[in-house]
Amino acid sequence: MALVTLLASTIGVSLLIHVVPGDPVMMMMAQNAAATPEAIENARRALGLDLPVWQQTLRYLGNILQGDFGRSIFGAEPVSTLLFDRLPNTLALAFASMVIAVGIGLPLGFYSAYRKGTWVDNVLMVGAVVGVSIPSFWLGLILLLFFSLTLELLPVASGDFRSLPLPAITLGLTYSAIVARMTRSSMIEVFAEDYIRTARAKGLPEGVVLRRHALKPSLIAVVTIVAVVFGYLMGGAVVVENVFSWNGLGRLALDAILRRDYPVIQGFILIFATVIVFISIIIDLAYAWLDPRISYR
Amino acid sequence: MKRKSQSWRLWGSALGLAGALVAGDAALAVADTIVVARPADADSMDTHRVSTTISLQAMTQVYGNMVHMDADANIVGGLAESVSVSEDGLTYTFNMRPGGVKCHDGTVFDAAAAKWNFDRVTDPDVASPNASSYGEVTGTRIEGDSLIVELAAPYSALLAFLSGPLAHFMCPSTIQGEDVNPVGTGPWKFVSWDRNNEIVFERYDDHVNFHPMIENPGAPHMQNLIYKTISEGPARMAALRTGEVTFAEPSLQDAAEMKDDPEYIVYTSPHSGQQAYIAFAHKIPPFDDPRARRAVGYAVDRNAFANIAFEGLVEATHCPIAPGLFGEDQEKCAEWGTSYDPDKAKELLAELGYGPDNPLEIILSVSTLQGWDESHVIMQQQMAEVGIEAEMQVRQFASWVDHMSVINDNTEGTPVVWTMGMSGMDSDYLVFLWQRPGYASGGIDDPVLDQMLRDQRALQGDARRAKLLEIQKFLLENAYEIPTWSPGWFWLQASKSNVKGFRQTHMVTPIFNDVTIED
Repeated sequence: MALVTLLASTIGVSLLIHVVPGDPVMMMMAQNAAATPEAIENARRALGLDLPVWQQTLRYLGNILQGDFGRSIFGAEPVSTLLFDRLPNTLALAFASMVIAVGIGLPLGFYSAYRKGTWVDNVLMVGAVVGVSIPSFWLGLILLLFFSLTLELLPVASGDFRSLPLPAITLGLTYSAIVARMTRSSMIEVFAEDYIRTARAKGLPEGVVLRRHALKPSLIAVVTIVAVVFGYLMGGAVVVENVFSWNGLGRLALDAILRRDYPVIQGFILIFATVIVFISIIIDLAYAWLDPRISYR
Repeated sequence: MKRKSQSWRLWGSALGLAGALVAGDAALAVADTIVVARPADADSMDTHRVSTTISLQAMTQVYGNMVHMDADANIVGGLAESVSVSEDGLTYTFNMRPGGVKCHDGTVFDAAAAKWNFDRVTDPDVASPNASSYGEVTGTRIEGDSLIVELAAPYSALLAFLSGPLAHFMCPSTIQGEDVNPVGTGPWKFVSWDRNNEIVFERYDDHVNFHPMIENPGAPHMQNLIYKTISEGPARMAALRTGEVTFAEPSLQDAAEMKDDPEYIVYTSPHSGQQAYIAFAHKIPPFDDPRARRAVGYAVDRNAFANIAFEGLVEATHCPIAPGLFGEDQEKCAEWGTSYDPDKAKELLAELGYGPDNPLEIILSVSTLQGWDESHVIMQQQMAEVGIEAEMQVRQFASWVDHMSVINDNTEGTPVVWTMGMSGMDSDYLVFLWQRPGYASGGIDDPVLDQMLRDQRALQGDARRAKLLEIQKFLLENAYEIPTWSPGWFWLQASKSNVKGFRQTHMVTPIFNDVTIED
């Protein structure tokens, strides 16, 4: 199934990028005042862009099977180098943001569900709506200007670990609101289960009810939330990466899309899909561990 | 209460200390280092593979040029001490400097190295985007210390091209199989490249300058040069204000504010070679009639674009050839072309049957860029004042080129006006724009123009200048092109006012050889 997903996404993207208007060779030649039609055709031929789309796709798939991601149309750098240089940064940002998002969102969502219908619940959920609604680029710029320009506590763009906190906080805060809302919904369902009511009826202390009877079943929901958020963070960090000059895959992909750098776009989608598929497999295994009733044959 | 306030003070001190530790080395690093914040990173350091400004601005620090162009567009020696051109314009002899010029790795840049560059860039297998700018090279050979380059057809723009950033010559040790290890003769040695983050260069102590627009005869004054990628404008400006970077490309609004602030210096680029213009899908009526095209020319006020949309940071221009390039003459161009005169525009439109009850409905097809966006709105309003109703269609650049390549070939449909910019080291870019098929299929089917464009390539000196003026007269009188402003893209830089000696030479090439930073 995982291989089918990867194959489908690779073929799908390979076909779709050719539907979008824009010619990478014309972009490449845009600043060359003497580019002749022959030179443009020669460049197209050298890059294999003169072939029908289906042939280009087949050739790409064949190369991928041999571990060759191709070369960027702009500068001829190996796509694998471009991608794998940045993948650790994207994973680091996604992971750090997820820790913040889950660290804040999970307890708040849990508490909000526990105090469902009270003013605390209302305040927290209004806060979550506000959190979801704040555009991350705006929040990012405000944090950047405050911490870097006003307080001069953090560099604007050091390119190393010192540049990680602000984008991680920006993304983490935004997604903590989403996590809080999702956690609250699933916890409300858990709290309404018969076994929770039974535990309380037996006179167990509230702490024991929550810890022993509510927490473990809710972990399945938590794991799901973590997976969803990680997926969002892998794909949704482009704007924040730009604001904080974080050297991740998102910036590379955005640039490649704007310039129609086909091999880089294809490589990005393949890597992205692989990471998502990999996470899905881990999540499935976690489900089975958390709930013995779930098994995969 | 007192204890609480002391506790806050302690936290404040701790945070301050942590901040100083975290941010401190960034500030210290600037002491003998120039840090340049750029919106994007280079694509490659292989000069034969790329043609984007952002890449050229990095490569220009490492590599050298065979010849250079001075502020008055004269060609002088570079890696080649002198050049001679045969009478028929087909043979170029590059006399290299005695003993060659020392590369960063100790090898020598000589006639063989120059030949290697010519051969590689024109090799069809390399498929260099710059290959055709070298003309139709039929062969290269070495005679003593000289490199002889033979062409199939005269190409008078060759030397100007060779003096520009698209023709940096690498030391051959740069290319090792598929790997690029930048080695040149330029003022800065390549040290490292963390892609999309920073490129680090250090001073090349043995550098000898040949560029007439650089004062410093030897190695740069500063020790290190770092190109840092900071995509977002506000972040770049924040880095400039905190001193984390020395130079940053400002937005137009930031530049307009900074130019009146004594704490900052805003640099424009008088030798950019950039020219913006309005053009037409000239096969679609009524723009197949020069009167309709001239009406648009009379309707728009180029001074409003320069002074309002571009905050006075560009110049209104009248020539198809950019200011400073060979063959430009703003006075003559103003005489042949159109200037803001709404009454004349209305008269011409009336002749063509358009008026208040029958407005000319057109599409204004544009791509988005700062300053240009505001100019397009002004254009739309000014055209409306003379009875041209323009629906604006904005596309991202790659899509715009594709779209216009189709529209410019159409002979019927809604009339289309479009805007575009071109830059180069030589006026020869008129061939690229106007000889069929032309850029985005916008070329003109006219044998007279075609002949003139071919002829100018075979001429030199005054004869060529006269031919280029003839071409411009043709373009302006027929209003195929309405020149608007210059420069207009990637031409601004800003620094604090304690930075001295920075300048941008031809095609917005940043020069750091003369830069010093005062305490």
